Amino acid sequence: MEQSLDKAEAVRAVVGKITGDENIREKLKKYGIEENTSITVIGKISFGGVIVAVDGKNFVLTKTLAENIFLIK
Amino acid sequence: MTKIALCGNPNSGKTTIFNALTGLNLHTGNYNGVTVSAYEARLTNDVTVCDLPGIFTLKPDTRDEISACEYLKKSADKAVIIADGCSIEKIAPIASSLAEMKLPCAAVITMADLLERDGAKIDMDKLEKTLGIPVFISDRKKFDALRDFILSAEYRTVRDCSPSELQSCIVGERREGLCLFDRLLFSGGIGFVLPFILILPIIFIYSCISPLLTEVVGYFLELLKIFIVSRLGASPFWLRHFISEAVFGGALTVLEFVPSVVLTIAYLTFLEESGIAPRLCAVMSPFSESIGISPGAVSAFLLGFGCTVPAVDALRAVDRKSARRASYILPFFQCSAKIPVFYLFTAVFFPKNPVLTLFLIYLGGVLVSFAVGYISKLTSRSEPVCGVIELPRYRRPALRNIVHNSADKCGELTKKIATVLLILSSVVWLLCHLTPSLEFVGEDRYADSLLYTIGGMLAPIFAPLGFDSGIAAASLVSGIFAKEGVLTSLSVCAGRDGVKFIAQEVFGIPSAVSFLTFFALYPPCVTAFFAYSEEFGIFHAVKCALVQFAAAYILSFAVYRLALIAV
Repeated sequence: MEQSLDKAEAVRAVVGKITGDENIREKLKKYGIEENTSITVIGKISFGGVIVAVDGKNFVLTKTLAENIFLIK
Repeated sequence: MTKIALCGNPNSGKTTIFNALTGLNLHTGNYNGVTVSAYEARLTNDVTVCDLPGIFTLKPDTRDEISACEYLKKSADKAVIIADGCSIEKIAPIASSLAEMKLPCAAVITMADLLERDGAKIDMDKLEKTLGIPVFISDRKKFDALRDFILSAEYRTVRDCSPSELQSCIVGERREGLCLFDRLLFSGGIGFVLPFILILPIIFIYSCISPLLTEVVGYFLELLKIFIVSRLGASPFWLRHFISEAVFGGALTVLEFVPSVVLTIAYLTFLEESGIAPRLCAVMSPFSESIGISPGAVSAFLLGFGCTVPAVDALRAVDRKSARRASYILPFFQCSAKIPVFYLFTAVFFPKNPVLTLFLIYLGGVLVSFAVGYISKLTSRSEPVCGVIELPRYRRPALRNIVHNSADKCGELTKKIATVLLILSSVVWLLCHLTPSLEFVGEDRYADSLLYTIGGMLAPIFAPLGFDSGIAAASLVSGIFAKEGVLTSLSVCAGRDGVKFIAQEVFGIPSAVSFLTFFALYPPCVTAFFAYSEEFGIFHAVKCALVQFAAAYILSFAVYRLALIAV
């Protein structure tokens, strides 16, 4: 079962499908976020946006970007 | 000449290493995208080091990344991979590309102490074997050893390794999560008020500290003026008058504001160095996304409170479409050069509410930027913005960097006073004291002067905004060359009466509010225009200037009409 990242609560999870165009996938790959990688959702931003930890760094993903990422639950 | 490139992820400490090696003081900060172009300096007679903008891979998509990748591919003889000790696996894609290029490499690990503070550490032997190149752990106290390492290390082709291989070189578990302040900031709702909280110290500087500082500097300038003019007793009247009114009364007036501008720059450096700037980008991301601008551009807006020129350069680290859209609204974030004029008008027309007035000016600028950004998004085809902002750890700002940036600004402003502002003051003084037939006239015959004639021609343009005086028009023209020029022009025109007197003579409260609105929003100075032109091309620079002029004109017209009703 998959859940989009912008809906996820704080959880350690594996990235499943990434929708959107190739640009989005390339952009996320730069930060180490691609299918089958492990990420931790650590918080949310009021008015939209998700904070995740990947490879020892914390990143904020904008709402539009987070909607394109699905986590395997 | 051997060229060694310092490459690595953004915010991994490349510029700090570069500064330590070369003794230079390039701008540093605690967020991604501080360095936006390659910068070379000589390390020894036959070795040059180059500080490159941060990259994640050798497939660039912003202009700063393109310059870094081109340097690595075309110019570098060797590369030093600078890796943040807390996330060494992030260098895997760079290492893979460098392995493919067969470029001789070495590696330097920074911020390993932060990893140790979390209870984990790097297994150096394993890391050297994994990467297949010599590795050095950087330490503030070991910069001499670092220099020796860079010069004498045995550079080798790096091994193509995966992120998980690099991750296995970290012994112990890294701590994940947000600190209490970040939790309150992002989820507790404090984030929404962060921009307002961050503006308050700037307002405090100008409403509470600035009056005292300007008075002290003004007092010493007056003493110097009396001394110099008294020494010129036997010289021609026009020369004494020029020194007194154009040099001291005009250009040097801005000197009174140097301490306050320096304090503002020190504060902005503190925000950049501490890690607050990227948090501001993060909390503003829903708003920047709503106007089609990548959240990374918000750090350029923050720089815009200091000066528009470096802010335009900072847009290189943002994707091209966002950068172009952000360029329209960048000057609405009030640069420090405008502060002397804000201060003058606040002191003359709103002496009882200086804090509120300055707050409204800054807030107004931000609101206008969002309104113009939103209109721009509606009127052009745009794809959704997909932004990622890295949240670095909070760091205690280095006093050296704060002092250096402030001293740089002080030097820059002093140079501006001695060049651009002195020329502007001289031109305005000449226009004030020459007739169209180039005869010298005294202060009491202002109506015969060239300024009056030229100002009279420009005045109808501004008449609907409530300030149809030639002096106001001429001062706004001076402001195109340098924003402080508005103050120097008004000061030169005021002569012995003083700038506060002439401000009261030329403006009423409605026209003063309208003038301030126009001044706050009209296009930035020519230096910024050239920066725009270099970054985006002359056509886009002109388009931006026209949009900013239109916004300034329409809004000051509206503000003037509202003020007429209210007063």
